[in-house]
Amino acid sequence: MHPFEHHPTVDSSPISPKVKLRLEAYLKALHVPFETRTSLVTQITSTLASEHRKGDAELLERAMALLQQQISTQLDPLEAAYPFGKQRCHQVRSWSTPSIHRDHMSPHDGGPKVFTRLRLLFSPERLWHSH
Amino acid sequence: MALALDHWQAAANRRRLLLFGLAFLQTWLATHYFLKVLPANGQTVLEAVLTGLFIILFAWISLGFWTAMAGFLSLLVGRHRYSATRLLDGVDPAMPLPKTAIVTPICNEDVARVFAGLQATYASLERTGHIDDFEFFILSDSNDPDIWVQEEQAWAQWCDAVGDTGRIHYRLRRTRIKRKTGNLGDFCRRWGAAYRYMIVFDADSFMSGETLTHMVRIMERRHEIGILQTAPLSVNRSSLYARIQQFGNHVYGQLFAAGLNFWQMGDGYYWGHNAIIRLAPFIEHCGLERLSGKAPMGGEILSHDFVEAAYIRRAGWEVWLAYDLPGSYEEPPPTLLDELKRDRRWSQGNLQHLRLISGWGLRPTHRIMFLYGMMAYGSSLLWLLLLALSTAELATRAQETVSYFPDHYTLFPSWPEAWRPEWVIGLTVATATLLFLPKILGMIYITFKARARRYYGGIMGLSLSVFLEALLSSLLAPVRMLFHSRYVVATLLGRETGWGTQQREDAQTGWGEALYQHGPGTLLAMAWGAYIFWLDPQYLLWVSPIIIALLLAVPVSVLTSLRSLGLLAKRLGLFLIPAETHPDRLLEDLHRYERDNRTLLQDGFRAAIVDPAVHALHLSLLPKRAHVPENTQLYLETLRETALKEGPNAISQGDQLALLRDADSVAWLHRRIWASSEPEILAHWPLPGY
Repeated sequence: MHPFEHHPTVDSSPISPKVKLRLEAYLKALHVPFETRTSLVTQITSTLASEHRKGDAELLERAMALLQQQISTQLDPLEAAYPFGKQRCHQVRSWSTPSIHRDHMSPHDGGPKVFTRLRLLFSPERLWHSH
Repeated sequence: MALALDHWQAAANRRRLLLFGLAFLQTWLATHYFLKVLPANGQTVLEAVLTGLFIILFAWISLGFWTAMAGFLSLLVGRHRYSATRLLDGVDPAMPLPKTAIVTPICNEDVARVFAGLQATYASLERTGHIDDFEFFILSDSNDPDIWVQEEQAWAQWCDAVGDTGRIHYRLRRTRIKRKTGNLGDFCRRWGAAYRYMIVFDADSFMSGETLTHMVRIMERRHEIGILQTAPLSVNRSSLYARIQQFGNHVYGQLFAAGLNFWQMGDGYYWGHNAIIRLAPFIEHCGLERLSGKAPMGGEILSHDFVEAAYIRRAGWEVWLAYDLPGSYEEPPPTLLDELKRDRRWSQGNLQHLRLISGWGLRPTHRIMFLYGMMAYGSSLLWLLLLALSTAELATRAQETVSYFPDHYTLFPSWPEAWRPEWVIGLTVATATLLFLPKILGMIYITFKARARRYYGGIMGLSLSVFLEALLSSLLAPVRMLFHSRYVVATLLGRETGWGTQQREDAQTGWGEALYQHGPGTLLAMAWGAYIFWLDPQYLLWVSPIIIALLLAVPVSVLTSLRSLGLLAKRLGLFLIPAETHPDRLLEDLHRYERDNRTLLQDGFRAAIVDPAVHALHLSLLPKRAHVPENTQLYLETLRETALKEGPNAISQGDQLALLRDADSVAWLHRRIWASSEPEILAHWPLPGY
């Protein structure tokens, strides 16, 4: 039996099952909970039904565009997939930009001492050739 | 009252004098007999060169022998005043620890295994209650598109599993300058000042939380220590070759580690991983300059660890080997050929030290250690030369005709000097003793420790394993000699070697590859053996161990690479180590995490394009591209069109990498694939769950 035949979200509107199945698959891959998934798919299929579009290809393209729209307003894909947060990823991303502000007070045994990137840059023999 | 490790320098000087004196005496005695064995007692040019080679080689193995002897005695005595772990005596376990970074530089490694090691370490640290004192940095230099995305996934899944702790960091370096040193240098420059210590991991390292906290405590107790190296134990492999290496590392490795600490003390080695480093002096003194000239002898310093130890010591900081600190692990190469590939890089790196040995201000011990490192590979070439010249000597003697009545007037005939086989046997026995006695001592040490004995399969299992290991190491020594000689000659002739990723998995060696790699050595052995037999059949007996080893190189290389034989040996109770007989929680965790990671990690590049979650993660980690030049934009557009229509396999790895670096291209492909109803596109890009 095809799983589609079972699904509560795909039997209730005249939109092609292929489109609904695609929407379902996308949201499932994002680990979106069942209730949210159902609600999103229903919203999108209703919009599609009101737009009177024809042909699977056109419908599919429109459905995915609507899904992206919904996701950007209602759901953060990263939050959905990794609940530890988008902020964390952004923090990591920002590391790829060198910043002098990232140099802190050193807890060196000899007492606080500032290790700045500038200092390293101006002492060529100590320079770590990297970037 | 003097603390442990105080005033070590005077003791170290005395011990070095003793050790080198013993090696010198032993070499002098052996040379005396060697000269007697030679037909002209070293009076010809050929024999003088032979004698020179013999002296260097004998001194080399003699030093190794006395190091092992010193180690054996150190272990028997137990922890003495000059072992770094003595600093742990009386330490309050609740003592607050400073923030320490655990850094793992990686480059195209087995992602599931790398992260499993770190996850197991993290879990172990959590059990100590000190997890808040440590932060993890995965410093990636990977340029394989699949591996890059898998690393992101593994990092995210790990963060997710332990909660948003903010102490697990992942960074991909886009410009991979100066390989591992550049990678670590980048860490030091950007974040080094935020931590007092960093503990360097290799891709296959993992350590117990208790060991990590002990390392920090030792550093806190003695502020003069710049680097504290642990002696990692080899574990976790299943091939026969790797299991034998693991066994050897457990049984004899501890002797050598203790022996090295006996005479090196605060002038010790840094092996590049499983070590804790005081960051401030490291940043200040261990920046490595590029050597003048071209690779292999010039350019970037490859074996950077020895040099960093020498530089930090030059600045007055101590480098200690915590030889008796357990809970530090690594994995050996799975096969002989993998080990030889690794040796190729190491030999080039160690020979580069020739350029640094006379450097300003280095401690004499570190100069000796540079020499030691070079001899690890150079000795092979010297041994090969010794064998070649011995054959030349034999050929010369075979062509000589014995003259009983020389031209000048004598009362009696001139009898040829009798060859004294007992001296040759004596020399051979002495050499064999130097090579094999440390193995027996290692076995004796374990045998005396009842609990340890059980971990190694009891007396019978242990003895048989030592015997078989010694047999195999005798078979492998000539094979290694040929390979190492080739590497040394290639480096000296200016041919650079690659510095690729190490093989970390249990991969087997095929017959074809073994024949290709060892075939020339086998042919050489056949030709050499036939020539010697023609010259003097009796002499063949003396060199037969070398010839037989080279003749058997192909099957030995293939058979020892087999995982099935490794597991069979394990069932038979051979080459057992404590990690196999009594695995601790750390090892169990490692296996579990590795299994889980292998299930969870997806096909990297494809997943970043298609899987919505991986796609979102990848996009969120990409830096924003300020401006894309028109040509680049055109190139990317062509690439993504090709990738969309013909699938990921239609574009090269480099092109995949270019697409992955461009957020617009990744998002464009993702949207187009998910909105596509064309069967060809969906065949190339199967959608998850659809």
